[in-house]
Amino acid sequence: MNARFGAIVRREVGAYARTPMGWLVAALVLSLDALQLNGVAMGSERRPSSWVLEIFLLNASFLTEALAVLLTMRLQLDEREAPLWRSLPLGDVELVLGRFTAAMLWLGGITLATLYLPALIFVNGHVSLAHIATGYASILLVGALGLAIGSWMAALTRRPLTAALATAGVLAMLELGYYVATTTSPPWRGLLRDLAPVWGRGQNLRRGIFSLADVAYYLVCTTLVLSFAVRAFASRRRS
Amino acid sequence: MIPRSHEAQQRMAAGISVAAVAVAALATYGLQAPTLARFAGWTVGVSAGAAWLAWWKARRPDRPTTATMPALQLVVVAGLLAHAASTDAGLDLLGVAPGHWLDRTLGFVAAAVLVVGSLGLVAAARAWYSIAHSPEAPLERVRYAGLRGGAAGLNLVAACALVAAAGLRDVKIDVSLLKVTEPSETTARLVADLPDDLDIRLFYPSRQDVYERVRPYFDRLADLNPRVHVERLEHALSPELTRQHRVPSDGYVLLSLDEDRAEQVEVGLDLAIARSRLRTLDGRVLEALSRLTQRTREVHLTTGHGERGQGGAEAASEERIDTFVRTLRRSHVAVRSLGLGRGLGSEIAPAVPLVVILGPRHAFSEEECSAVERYVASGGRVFAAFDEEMSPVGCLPAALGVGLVPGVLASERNHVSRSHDAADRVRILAKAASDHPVVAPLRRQRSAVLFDRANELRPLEAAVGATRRLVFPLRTEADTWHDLNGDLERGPDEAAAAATVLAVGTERTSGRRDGRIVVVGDGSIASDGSLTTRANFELVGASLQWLLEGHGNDRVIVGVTTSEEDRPVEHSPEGERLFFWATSFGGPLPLLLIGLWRSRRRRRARTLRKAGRSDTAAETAAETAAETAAETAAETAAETAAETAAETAAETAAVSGDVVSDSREEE
Amino acid sequence: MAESRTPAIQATSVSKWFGAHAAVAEVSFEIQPGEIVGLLGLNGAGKSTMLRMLVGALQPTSGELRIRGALAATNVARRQVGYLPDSPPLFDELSVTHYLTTIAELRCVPRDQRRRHVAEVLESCALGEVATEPVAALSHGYRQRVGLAQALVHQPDVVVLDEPMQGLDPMQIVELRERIRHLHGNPTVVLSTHILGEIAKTCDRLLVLHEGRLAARGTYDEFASLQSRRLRMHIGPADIDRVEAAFRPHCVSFEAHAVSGGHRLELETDEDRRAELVRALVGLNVDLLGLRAEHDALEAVFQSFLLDPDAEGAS
Repeated sequence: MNARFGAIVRREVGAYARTPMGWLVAALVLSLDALQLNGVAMGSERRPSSWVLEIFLLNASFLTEALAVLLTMRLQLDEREAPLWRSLPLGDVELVLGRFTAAMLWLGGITLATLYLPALIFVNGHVSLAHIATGYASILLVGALGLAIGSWMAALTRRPLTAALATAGVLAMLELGYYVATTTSPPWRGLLRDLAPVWGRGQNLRRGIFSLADVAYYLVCTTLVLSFAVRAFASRRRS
Repeated sequence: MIPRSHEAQQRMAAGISVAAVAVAALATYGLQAPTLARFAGWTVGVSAGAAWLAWWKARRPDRPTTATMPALQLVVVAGLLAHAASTDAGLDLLGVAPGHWLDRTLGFVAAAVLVVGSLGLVAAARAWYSIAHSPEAPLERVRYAGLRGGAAGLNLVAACALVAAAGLRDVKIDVSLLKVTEPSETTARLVADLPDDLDIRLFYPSRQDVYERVRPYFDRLADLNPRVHVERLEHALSPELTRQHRVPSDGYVLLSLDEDRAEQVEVGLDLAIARSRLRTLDGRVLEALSRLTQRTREVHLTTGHGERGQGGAEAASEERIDTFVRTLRRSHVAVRSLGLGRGLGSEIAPAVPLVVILGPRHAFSEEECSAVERYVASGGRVFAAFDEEMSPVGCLPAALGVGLVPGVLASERNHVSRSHDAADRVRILAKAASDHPVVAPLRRQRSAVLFDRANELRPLEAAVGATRRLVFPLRTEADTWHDLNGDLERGPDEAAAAATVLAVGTERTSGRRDGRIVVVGDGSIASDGSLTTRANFELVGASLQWLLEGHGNDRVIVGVTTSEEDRPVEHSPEGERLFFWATSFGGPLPLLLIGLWRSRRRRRARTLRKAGRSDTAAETAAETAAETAAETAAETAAETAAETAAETAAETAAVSGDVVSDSREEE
Repeated sequence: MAESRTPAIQATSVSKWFGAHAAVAEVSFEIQPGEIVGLLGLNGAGKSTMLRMLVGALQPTSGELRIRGALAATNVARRQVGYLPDSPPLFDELSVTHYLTTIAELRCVPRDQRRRHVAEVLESCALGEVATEPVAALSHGYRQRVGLAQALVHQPDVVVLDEPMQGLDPMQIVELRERIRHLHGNPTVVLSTHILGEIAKTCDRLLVLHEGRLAARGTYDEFASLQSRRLRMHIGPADIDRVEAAFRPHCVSFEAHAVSGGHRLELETDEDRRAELVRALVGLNVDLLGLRAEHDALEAVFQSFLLDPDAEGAS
């Protein structure tokens, strides 16, 4: 990666930060996260703080998936901008990764801005900072995978809304697979459960258990899907 | 083999496709075929079907053919052959023993080749389909699409291999406070020293939520001792075992040394219910293991002097000793009471393994003191914790060979803050000052014990002699003073010096074992409030272990278990409201304001610019119109002059500016 | 020396297929350095596809397209090309200077030269007065100028302009034409437009695409000389059959319409036959009231393609 990659990232992050919509979405996510902490995670009974944190992280993961779906609309090259972007002396990898990285930075920023919520659980309850760290790592990894899928769908489709719907569909399918798994027999049961980014793979990290297999799943899948996105993007030149 | 006519090719492809799908369906629903066989059947069926569809769509006699799709079909067939070779029958045929490296390699290669070939075939078929009606369309696209699909398949295989490799390595590190996956040091010590085989059977369906949580814990135990074996069983599939050990259902863990000696730990299947059980898993496993491996011992708690543990469930945590009792029970140590009626006032039976005196508030009688003294002299063991709350102090310290120095110990610097006022000065820290087994864990961990309103202990010279040895292995910092007047301020007559708050003594006897005593100058040392501090727990655990050792032939393991209690998120009703509003809207508000501010700034700048430019725009428009008119007129005049008729001038001018089409080109 | 002999653009049997449809088919041409070439064609003729292949935004399905010797779809070639798409993509939230600096960075202009390049292009495109304004606040004319500026900011050897006159008023068109004709460094320019009059005034040479194929190429004069002459005559009262009989040897087609005070004739000749026709009228003693030749070469070429797709071009 080089200066041009940096320029793409700066330009795209700037595009998020310079529009009121970017901030509105960020505020909305923060608000929803706070509401789900108060309304769902804390519950009506006095739940132990580690449980509250776990439920909060679960809901925050789903919100991050939804945020990734929203950001997918920005991942697609605008019909008007596409010819110029493609005429620039940039590789397909730089273009796809640049936009992905910018979206990831924005998503990461919003996610980290919600850290004050688990910090309140930390202060008022009995959880470890490392537990919060692994939980947030899982949220960021889920976000990265969601954005990678979004990049792929954006490269495959022609309209932002279609890309977002397709991303939502893929993520919903993966998550629902976790429940479908209960009706199947091995090895499909394990396979379907392990493919669900939040329900399946996020469990250990949300509980404060760093699991190499889970982290590897997120990183490998994100890389794989991004490679598909680059392939699909490149094939647009050739199609 | 491959028919030359296009129609015949179609028929053949259709036949292969239908046959493959039929075989796959039969394998899935009719036969108990292995999963991979079903997968292979469906793969071939779907890819052959896709290829046939493309052929069917492209059915034209003048259609040139491409070698890409037959080549990719050959790849799929190669994958199928590799798969066939990896089956039991195939391995038999090849003379390869199951489990041989070739067996595993063939399985992997088959799956990889099938994925690569199928994806390539489907991609090529799609490209073929898209140019079905254009005989002139270049066929490189089909080849390119096939290669692209194959490459994507290769990526997928590599990714699966990486994830599978990480799964096999299965490194898990529990960083939560409520470590379910980590056995405590106490349990680990017990398991590591096990001389016999221990089978741990987890009765759970596979991939079950609770099972996923508890399995790593037992795997850790298995890592500690090769004699420990862990396996998962389903209740319904192990009727004999469950009947023999009366395992009621899934959700239980069975720990067994042999057919007769087994213990169960209930964890449950419902995660919401199991959650609380998981928090105490380590303690309950330790309890079960202790029951399995150690015989029952007894500890006798003295009563009748306002000791800790008498206040009931509503008492403050400094009064309750639930953790202490639970810890003993987990080590298979029963707790009994020892009052006047059971010999405390006359003769404590030498068979009593340990007498525990926890923070009495009333003095012991002379008879009781002499009973304790005789008991130690005859090889008895005593754990005593008291301070000057015991009023009057009476004869008990002297009976144990120590003197209780008046004045609560206080320190201005080396204390633990809680209320952030002078009252904190009596919450002092003490560190290990010797290698005695009672303080060995503290020394190893370099941790300090927290004492609350403790008194210094000093040896009574008269009590130390040829048979009795007394050490003081725990000391406070040098700035500790005795707060004699209770004002929590250090007065001129209150000298500072390191104080000893723990006395450990041995009494050599003529009997089978020596008498042992541990005296702590803090009556609340074994209370629930005190034992939340890990070092305090270590001290009490190590003391009990040292005191119980040598009673019988086996070791006793008493110590901290991984059962840290969680607590709910706490705040008052007012705080709750504040918490809600602050978190729900206080956090997002700054972001919203930044967005609004930026938006307003942009809008205002645009409005200002538009207003500023409107005058210029009007001028420019006028100028432009004038110039354009002049230019057009000049052009028109020139062109008209070249022609003959006056009327054609206007038409020429119109044509010269004609626009073929204003619409944007859309391709 | 070797570089000067290398064509700025060289297309060899370039085809581009979208599914079963060939947007561009077997197109070959060469453009020399410094030439200004117009690409003409009806909607769907393949102009934009061709231009997008030139700038490396699309890859040819087959054939070879080179920019100064480098394959067009490589970064080496893309660095030498400036591109103004049909609707200029402008990052609305940026100021003009910021936008141009960003594009300069993406176009690999070295950091120490960026400021100078941007200043030059701001001046050459007369954007100085709006340099600090956000792109979103600009009028259409200014936006088009900014679009052109971004295509020139890295001082490319080849500039590709897709419908640069689109939506501009006559004044702006004249201004843009002048700007294109006097670009810094005399780059090769390829532009497409629907405004036929403009292409004649701006371009040295024309390429005409029709249904994806290169239908004709040549200079404006070559096209003009190719055209079949169309004449419109106004004559006084006359026996129209006799007039037709006298004109037939000189005309490809003959149409007469009775109008007040005589007839209006619409004629088509294979070459300039005005003198013969006027002599024939004089011989018939018919008054000539008016004569006009329609000679818009491009329109004629277009019409001839519309009517006869197999018509041959200038070369």
